[in-house]
This record gives sequence, structure tokens and C-alpha cells, in this order.
Amino acid sequence: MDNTDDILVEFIIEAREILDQLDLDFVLLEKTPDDKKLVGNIFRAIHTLKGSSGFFAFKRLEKVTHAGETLLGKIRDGSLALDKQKTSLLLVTLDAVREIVAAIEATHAEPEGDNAQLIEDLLNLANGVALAERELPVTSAATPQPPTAPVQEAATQVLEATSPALATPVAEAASSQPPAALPPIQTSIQPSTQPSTAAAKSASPLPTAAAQELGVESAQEVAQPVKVNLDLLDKLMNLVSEMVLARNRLLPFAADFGDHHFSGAVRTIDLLTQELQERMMMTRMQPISQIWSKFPRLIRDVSNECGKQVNLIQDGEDTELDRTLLDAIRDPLVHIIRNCIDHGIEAPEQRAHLGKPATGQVLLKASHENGMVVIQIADDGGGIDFDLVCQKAIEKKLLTAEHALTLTDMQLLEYIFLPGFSTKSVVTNLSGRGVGMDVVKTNIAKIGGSIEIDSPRGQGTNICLKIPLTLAVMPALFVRCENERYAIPQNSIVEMVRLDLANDSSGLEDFYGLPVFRLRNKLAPLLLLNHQLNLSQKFPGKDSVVNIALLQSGGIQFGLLVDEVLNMQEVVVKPLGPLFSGSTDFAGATILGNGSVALILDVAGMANNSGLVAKIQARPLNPVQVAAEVTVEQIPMLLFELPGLEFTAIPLECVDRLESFTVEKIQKNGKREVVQYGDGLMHLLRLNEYIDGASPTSVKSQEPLSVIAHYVNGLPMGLVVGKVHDIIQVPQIMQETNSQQRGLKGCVILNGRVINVIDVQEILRMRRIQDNEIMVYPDNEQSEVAVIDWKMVQ
Amino acid sequence: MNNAGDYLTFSLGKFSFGIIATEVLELNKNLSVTHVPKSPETVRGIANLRGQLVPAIDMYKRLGLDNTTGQQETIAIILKSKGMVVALLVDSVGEIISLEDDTFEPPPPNFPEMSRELVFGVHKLTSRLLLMLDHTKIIQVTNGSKKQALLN
Repeated sequence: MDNTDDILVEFIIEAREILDQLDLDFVLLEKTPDDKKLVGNIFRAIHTLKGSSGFFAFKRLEKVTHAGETLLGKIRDGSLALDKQKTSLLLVTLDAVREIVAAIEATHAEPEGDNAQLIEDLLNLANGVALAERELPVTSAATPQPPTAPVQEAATQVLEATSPALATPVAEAASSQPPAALPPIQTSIQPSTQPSTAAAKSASPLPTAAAQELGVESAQEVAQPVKVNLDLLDKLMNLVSEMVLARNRLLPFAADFGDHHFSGAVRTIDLLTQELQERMMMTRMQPISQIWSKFPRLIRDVSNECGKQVNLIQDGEDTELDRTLLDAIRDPLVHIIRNCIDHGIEAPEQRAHLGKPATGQVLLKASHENGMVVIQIADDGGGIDFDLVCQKAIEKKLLTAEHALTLTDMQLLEYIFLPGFSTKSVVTNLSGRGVGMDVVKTNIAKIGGSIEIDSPRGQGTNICLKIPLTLAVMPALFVRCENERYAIPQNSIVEMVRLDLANDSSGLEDFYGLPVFRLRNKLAPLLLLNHQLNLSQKFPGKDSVVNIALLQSGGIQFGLLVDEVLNMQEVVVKPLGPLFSGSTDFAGATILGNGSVALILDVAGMANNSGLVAKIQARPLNPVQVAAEVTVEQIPMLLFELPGLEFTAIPLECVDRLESFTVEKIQKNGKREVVQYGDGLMHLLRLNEYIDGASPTSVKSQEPLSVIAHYVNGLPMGLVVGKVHDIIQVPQIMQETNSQQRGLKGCVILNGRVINVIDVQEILRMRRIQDNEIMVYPDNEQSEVAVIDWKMVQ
Repeated sequence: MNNAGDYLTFSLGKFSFGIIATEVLELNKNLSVTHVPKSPETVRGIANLRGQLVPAIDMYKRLGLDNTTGQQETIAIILKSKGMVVALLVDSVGEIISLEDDTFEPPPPNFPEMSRELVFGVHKLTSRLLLMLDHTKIIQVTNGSKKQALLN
């Protein structure tokens, strides 16, 4: 009995692989209907399925695959051309097969039912359309889509199979619509390295005539992947990391003994262990294409259902990450992509109206960046409808109408992540239930990742997921509390603060029973790690120096007071086991280099445990400050000196570079002073000549000129100033000068000093008027004036 | 329950205990245990057993005994209890002995409740009484005592 079960499990795994590959092949085939090799591949794959189901006496499966095979056979021998309708029906067939296979896996028996309608459709299409084609060869020849050559080539190669995860998810929810309702749609995909059905094909017990005919590719030997139990891999992984620790203990002995043979042996062990560890890590890493390979089919189905035209671009599909993470990001990615198509990409007519190409683009890009995997999902659709988000937020009483006016688009984005929030008023099977982005965010946060959304109005959405490379290893900061070491995951640390309570006038304060401290004029709640872990009841003395780690969890920032900050280290996270499952303060434990165990703090759990989250939600800590910050925004300015005006400032956004030129470098271009700058010239503008209250330049000065380079329409303009001081933060709201001063926007008061803020736009305008005055002459009196002008300058 | 078989003996203070030898994986001297704050009282902490994290059970606390010796336990019995590997911290470990049914007696009714869950009987040996521990109950009641701790 066990034996049969094993074979059945093998069959299910094989069937899944075949189905996954078929999904891709069909979408490809739709683009390249003339690809005989591809049709042959599909035919053989279906045939293998049929053969296996016959072996297990799965009658229903056999009938469905047989009907599919009949239609494919006609397509393969050229008596039928593949079109939209046939592809859709064949995909429906795949879904039906998938369902049956899923049911077989669950119950080890074939489910009831006979798919009679589907089989009839398949056979009708195989016969009926064949007749139609003979009568009307012209119309059917026009139906196939134009082929795209590179796609075809890459897809037909037998790609090296990557070992598939044993746990493949159950059948996809999205299913195609009946073929009659299908609007004409053009879909294309990029090839990716998918687990191919090479193994399945070569293992096929029935090499058909067709297989021999097209069997050239089988000459290409591909090493067959071996299926290994995941538990076994995990155990091996554990052993290897222990081996590393044992090696670490061995190394000092080699140095102490000074025996050549012994140290030689130790060195060999050292090298072997290192290599073993590296190779072992590689077994955990899988290319992201493992999950991406399902997306072309998904996009085809979803876009058909929405009546939209979508083109998927994939980039970086061989980016590798830990297989446990692959499983975790699969659902979020599927959801985001559905959102892109359903919400983002507009209907073809609307796109045409907006002057965009009718086919929308969805970009899927993965890359490694700073030890993280960055996955970017971008579309060129309409972007997030912020007005609608705002309106829904007000409807759901999450926001008052007055408050909504003060919110920026970025702030409105936060509402998308709230549970139950959806901008769709009608629930469809694609979206509208409002569980989406909330789940995406929690799933991503669970694996230590983050999500960023950038959506300029009307220009599409760019979603960026940052995922750690592996769950098993993460960087953590070690801190000491009482006598134990604890690790804090680095991704939750915002900053480290050292607070000298003796010098700090405010120190630690009490805010409705919650200890708080001041950080840059904002209140931050504080947790004491020793209190939190019931280690001691000590409270820092009035004049002590304390170490605070500012942590972030679930939108709340809080400080964690620790006794000492130790080092940063990559840690291997291990679960604490069922005996400690009640503990929400710890995310796990790690084994240190010396073999001892250190606990890893669960930042979110700790914040919840302490009641901090509830307290802060009930009583926002910085209500006044937050409101004030929104209205009085600080902007950075560059403080400099002008002859006669000691404190002058320019908004930092107008400053592109700071330069210094010796007087000799200054040359003349007409009336203008210029310097050579890079490959071109930079015109100089002496600010003091344009600003009221500044004194004229002293002609004799031989000091180097300080110049602020400011780019206008891509050309550099050098603003000559006296001396550059510093960057300062000033409130955006300025004191308007009563009577407008020439060249000045206004002034701000900082530390009792009046600082004049220059108006770059006005200065440039004045300069342009001067230029135009000169320009007027050549128009009227041609060269003569130009000569005079030249002489004047000379 | 069959009360005969090979048993590993160990001592806690003046008491001798026996636990089925077939479930004992190894004995480990000077196992370094990391305290887990806020964990149940009977769990001393976790220890690293060649890369595997195992909970270390404070057997004095687990059996409701007072540690009168005032000394740290010296040895850990690593055993499997319901598929989970745990370390029992004890004072010392004796020999493995084969026991027959005829020396066995069920626990007296006036036995403390905390111990009665765990001690399924006594073997009367010539020199001493050997309290027999049910290895499958070791984890189970740890959770129970946590609930108790919450109530107090």
C-alpha cells in the first residue's frame, strides 16, 4: 500500500510540474502559433499525463487529457491553426486537470464528475473548426498573432530544471472565462528559467512517433535534479553550522600546539568546513523565477477577465533567495500584480484617450541590493486614485473631511494598508474585499521585509518590496541587560541614542504613566528592557548615562533602554520550541560563536505586551508637534555672506554644487563674466549687484570667488557670494518684508538673527531682463551695435 | 503499564529517581543554560545541544522539591519526551538498572499532587526507594504549571 502511495505522490509531483510548464508553453504558443517544436512539447506533455492517468486508472483524467490531446494532435499536424479560442479552451482544460490532480492528492482517489461539456467542446473544436478552416482558409490564417522571434527561441530550449519545491500550492483561483466571451487580446511574455519538464519528458514511458520526429533536443543531456526531503536539508544545515562552531573551537589549539602535522590537518578541516558551509547555503537559495513562472498565465487570465491588454516584462528572474522566503512572497506578489491590472492599468479605450499605447506594461524586476532582494512591480497605468482613497477614508470615518485636506498623497497611501480598505465599491472575484494590501504588508513584514509605494498621479504605480536574502540569517544588534545578551533584529532599529541624564534638562519624563524621553523636541515612549523581561526593577538614576535603541514596529516608534550596547552580528535564527510558545517577547534564539545561546527580541511582540501600542493609540504622543510639523515645515537653506549683508540664505534645493574659482580663471564672454566649468562655460552672476542692501564688489579683491552653482534649464549659473557658512534649518513660513526688497523673498529669524532669504527666481528674472535689453539692439540695428557693445566691454 | 525494564537512576538532593533508559539520548555535563525571562518557573532556560535548542527543565521545581543542597545541578539528562528533546537538570546520575515488576508499588495516596502526576510508582530496592518518573508527562505538566503561575 505504501508503495502505491509513493508512486502516487510521484505522479502528483510530476503532474504539477507538467501543468506549470504547460501554462507557460500555451501562453508562448499563442504568440508563436507556428512553433511546431513547442506544439510537439505540449502534445507530449499531455500525452505523458494521459499515460500516467491510464496507469492509475483515473478514468476522468484520462478522458479529459485524451480530448485535449485530440485537439492538440490536429494542431500539431497542421490541420488546425491555434487561435485565441483554442488556447483558452486548452487552458480551461489545464485548469480542470489541475483540479482533478488536487483532488487526487487530497483523497488519493479521483473526484466525481465527468467534465462532459469540456470534452465535447474540445472534440467539437477539433472537428468543427477543422471543417471551417477548409472552407475559409483566408480568415483563419489572419487570426494568429505575429510571432516574436526571441521569445520563441528561448522558450523552446530545454532549460536546466531546478529542483521544485515539494509543496506546490493548490490550484490557482483565477480561471478563464468561456471562450466565446473572450475579447481579442495580445499578450506576450519574456522567457525565464523555469523548471522544465525535461525530466518528465525523458522519463516518459511512451516515446511516440512525434517525440522521435522532434526528438533532436534529447541529445542534449541534462543532469536530472534529485528530489530531497526538506527536513533532511534542514538537518544538514544545522549540522553544518555546528561543524563551523566545532571548527572554531579547534582553531586555537592548532596555534597553541605548534605541531606541523596537526595544524595542517586543522587547516584542511577549516577549508573543508568553509566550503561545506557555502555549498550548504546554496541549497537553500532558489531563483525567483520559481514563482515568477506562474505569472504570465496569471496576467493573461486576469487581463482577459478585466478586458485589458497587458504586457509583462520580467527582469532579473535568476535572482536567488531563500526558498522559505519564496513561499512567503508568492501570495503578496500575486496580489500586487492583480491590483496592477485590475486597478492600475486602464481599459484600452481609456489608454488610447490618454495618449498611452493600448497595451499596458507591467514590469517585474528583481535584484540584489545591500544584502536585500529588491523586487519592483511597476505599471504604466493610472496610478493610485488618491481622491478616491481620500473619499473612501472619509466614508469609513477613518478621517475627517477637514483633516483630509491637510494630508499629502504620501500620507493617504497609509490608508491603503488598513484592513478592510478598498476603493472598489463592487466586490469582484479579483478585488474589492479590502483584504489585499493589508495582508501584503503583514506578510512582507513577517519575513522582515518592507514595502514602498510610489505613485505619482496618473503615471502608474511603482511598488518596491525589500526582502532579506534569507530568513535564517539576519543582522542583529547585541545588547546587554543585567547579565544576559539579547539580540535586536537590525531591521527594526531606527537609531541608537545615548542620553546623558545629568546634562539633559528634561531627562526621562512621565506621560500618563508612560516613561518618555525627548528626541529632537519630539516625545518618544520608552520601555525599560529589564522591567519588560521582569529581570529587575531598577530605574536609571537622575545623573546616569543611558543607552536607548530607538525601535520601530507597526508604525510606532519607541525607545528601548538597555544596559549596554555590544556588537552587530549576523545571527542564525532558531525557533524557541513549543515550550516557550507562550512567550511573545522573543522571536527566537541564536547560537553564538562560543556555543552559548542568546535570545532574539521580538520588537512587535514587546510593544504589544507592554501595552505601549494601546496607550499610544489612545493618546497620541505628539499631537501638537505633528500638527505643527505639517504646517510649519522646516526647509534646509545654505547660509552665506554677501558684502554688506552678513546673513543671507538660499534654499538648499537651488544649490547644486559649491565651487571656488581664483580670479584669474574668470574670463569674459561679451559683457558677462564666465568661467570654464566642466566641458562648457558657467556664467557668473554677482549676487550683491541684484540685492538691496548689499555693497558693490571691491574691484581690487584678489581672493578666490565662492560660487554656488545653480542649474537653470540644464545650464550652470554661478552665483558669486562672499563666504559660505553652513546649512541651516528654517521654518518655511517667512516673515514677509513690508516693502518688498529687491532680490529678497523675505527673512527668517534664527537664534535672534535676521537671515535674508534670496529670491533666486526674481534674481534670474532681473538678469534675463538685462540680457533682453541687450538683445533688443541686434534685432534693429544689426552688427553695428554689437561692435559697440563689444568695445564697451573691452 | 509495564513497570519492568531498564531504568536510569539519578538523584536530586536525598531522593532517588528512575526514568526509562530507552528514551535517554545522552548525558551532558555542564550544559550551559540561557535563562529565558518570563518563561514558566519549571523551565530553567534553553541550551544548545549541537545546534539544536533544547529546553532545560529544573527538576527540583518540576517535582516541587526544595533544593536544600544549595548547589547547582551538575548534569543534564537529555531525553525524548513525546517526540521533543528536553534536558533534565539533576544533581547526579547513577547506574542503569534492570527492574522487575515484583518490587513495584503504586504511589501512596498522600503523595503531593505535583509529584503524583509525574511519579507513577515506587520500586523498593534493598538500599533505597526509587521514585519512578513518567517521561511522557514531563512536558505536559510544564504547561499546566504555567497556567498555575498565571493564576497566582
